[in-house]
Amino acid sequence: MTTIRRLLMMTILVAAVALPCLGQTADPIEAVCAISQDLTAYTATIRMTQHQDGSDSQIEFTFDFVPPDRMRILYTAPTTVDGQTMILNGDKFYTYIPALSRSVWQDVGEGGGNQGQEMGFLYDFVTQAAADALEQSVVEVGEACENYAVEGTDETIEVNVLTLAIDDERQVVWLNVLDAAPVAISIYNNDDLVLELRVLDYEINGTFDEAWFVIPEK
Amino acid sequence: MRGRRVLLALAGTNFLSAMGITIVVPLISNLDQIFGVSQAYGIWIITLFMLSYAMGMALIGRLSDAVGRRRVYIASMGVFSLGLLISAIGPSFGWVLVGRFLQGLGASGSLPIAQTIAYEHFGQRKGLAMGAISAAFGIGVVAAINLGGGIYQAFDWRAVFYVTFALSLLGWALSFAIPETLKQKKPLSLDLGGILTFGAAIAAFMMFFRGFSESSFTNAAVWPYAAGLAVLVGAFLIFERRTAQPAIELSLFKKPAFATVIGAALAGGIGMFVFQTFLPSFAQVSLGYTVAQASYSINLMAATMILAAGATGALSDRFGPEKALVFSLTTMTLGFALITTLSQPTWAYYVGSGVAGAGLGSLMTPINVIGMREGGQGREGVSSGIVSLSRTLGGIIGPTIAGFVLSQTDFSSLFALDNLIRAYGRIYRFGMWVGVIGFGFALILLIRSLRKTEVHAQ
Repeated sequence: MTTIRRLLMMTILVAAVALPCLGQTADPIEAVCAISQDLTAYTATIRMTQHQDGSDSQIEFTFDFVPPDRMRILYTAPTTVDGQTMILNGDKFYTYIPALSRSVWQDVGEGGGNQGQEMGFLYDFVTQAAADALEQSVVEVGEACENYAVEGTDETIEVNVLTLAIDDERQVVWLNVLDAAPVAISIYNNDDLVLELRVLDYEINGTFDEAWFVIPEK
Repeated sequence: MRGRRVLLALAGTNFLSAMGITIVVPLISNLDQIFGVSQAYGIWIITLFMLSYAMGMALIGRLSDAVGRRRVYIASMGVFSLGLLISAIGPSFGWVLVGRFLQGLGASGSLPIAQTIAYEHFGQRKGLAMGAISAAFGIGVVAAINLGGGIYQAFDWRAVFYVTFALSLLGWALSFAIPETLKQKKPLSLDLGGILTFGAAIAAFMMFFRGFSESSFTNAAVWPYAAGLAVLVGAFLIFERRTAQPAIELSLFKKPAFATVIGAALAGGIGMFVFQTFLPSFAQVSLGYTVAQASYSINLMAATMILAAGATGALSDRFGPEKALVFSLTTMTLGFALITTLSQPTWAYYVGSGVAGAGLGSLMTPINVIGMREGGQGREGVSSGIVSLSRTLGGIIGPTIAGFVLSQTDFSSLFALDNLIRAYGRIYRFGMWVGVIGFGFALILLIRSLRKTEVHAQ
């Protein structure tokens, strides 16, 4: 009896990990893969907290993304970064740091860098790569939560919880049950919480302006 | 009365030449936009100045021992003014750099010769006089950062050089009031081979770090500079050993106390230039200040620097320069530690810079007094030149390493500004550890002097 129960549980786990995106929309994994695959535009207000070297840094910004490679980030808080801008357009990346009145132009192909990848699964989601990310990770589906409090509002929503693990990194992702969009991500490194991302509000497949992604000339 | 006039002239000229060093500091973070050149090319506005400043210091001691202090001093101030004029009217950025090279060459004469003249002219009150000159130099350094930021904000970069040029003419006029203190002239023998290899070695060192900040050590744009540096240092040492009157008299380093004070001067120079150079931009990134606000924010450090410089002269005369040096390097190290450890950024910035200012202001007088004393009679000019040169070398090494640390910041990170602040934290911690090493040197000198006093008492 015990062996049968174990086999049954393993089968469920393997199915959850190895068979994402096969068209069963009730499954949170399939749902998030589907919405990511069909994404044409994404706009959100995001709050991120970095825990590093014993200190915390929090930033807030608006995030616009049009797949596959156009991105705009406008910082709004704290005051030291208010007005900071990042634009990705193809392989060109631009940063403006108001604190130094300094603009930095980078070639993504040459210099590498992050260009938004610090957002973890959210970046995979907006770049239509959620399925790939899930396939490459060991995924665990947690219990759904009915009363997830959306940060910065009085609203509560129902969420599904996924845990993605690769090597020493683990991401806990909260997905809105209504549309399977990520609303929160916590990233751990060797069980240390290194980054928290909270989506304060978002719009999927809304309108966008080409002018948002124009990189200023040198 | 005559003593006062001499001191006023020495302090005044040093105030003005110090301005030339830091007048462009407020422009550093925006060189590409201000001059319309790449940041990598723009940074030569600092590099060339420091290069000629260091080369000039290697030349000036020997020259003043042969030609006379006064003549070299007047010529230095003249070259400094000419450099400022060229930078102001230059039709291209290349001309600005030519001007900066001449400014460095001219400014290199002012502090070591002024300290030598004060040492020779003021007898028992030499510490007080040297302290006053150091204070004036410190005020010049800080006034220029304030002035540079304000003038640039109100006008443009040319106005920064025009105003400094006008002030330098006043300094040049003042330099004619300085007396000749050299008692016996030595035959002139310029060690051009040594000076050129020395300058080239400094340039190779800076280019190595610039290249290393952009690519790996194995890159063809990096390793040839490392190889060049090794060859040039070797060539320099050979030149200095073979020349009868070398620019840097290596035999002086055989004296343990002289070598130790040079170590302290080098550590102090690294601390001094790292702290001053990066403080305004640190205020911009950590406190959100504008260029002008950041320039004004260093005034607390300036005030403690000036007070300490004046007080240390008297302290040095009364208690001995070794105790003054221990005080200086302890306070400087504490300032570095406070700016990185206090959790509230505004408190950390102002308390740290205020404490560090006291340490930086009290540095120059004791190292010059000890250096000239330990160098021996008749070698005051050369000894003073080597001490100032070591401090300046620290001023090249420190900011070059700090610049390398800053260049590693990832500007594509969402937390770019935090990463930048962390990089500044690493720079100030580096300064703190260099301060600890300098403190070690100062302690050795103090123990040595206390033992000497005990032997004399017995």
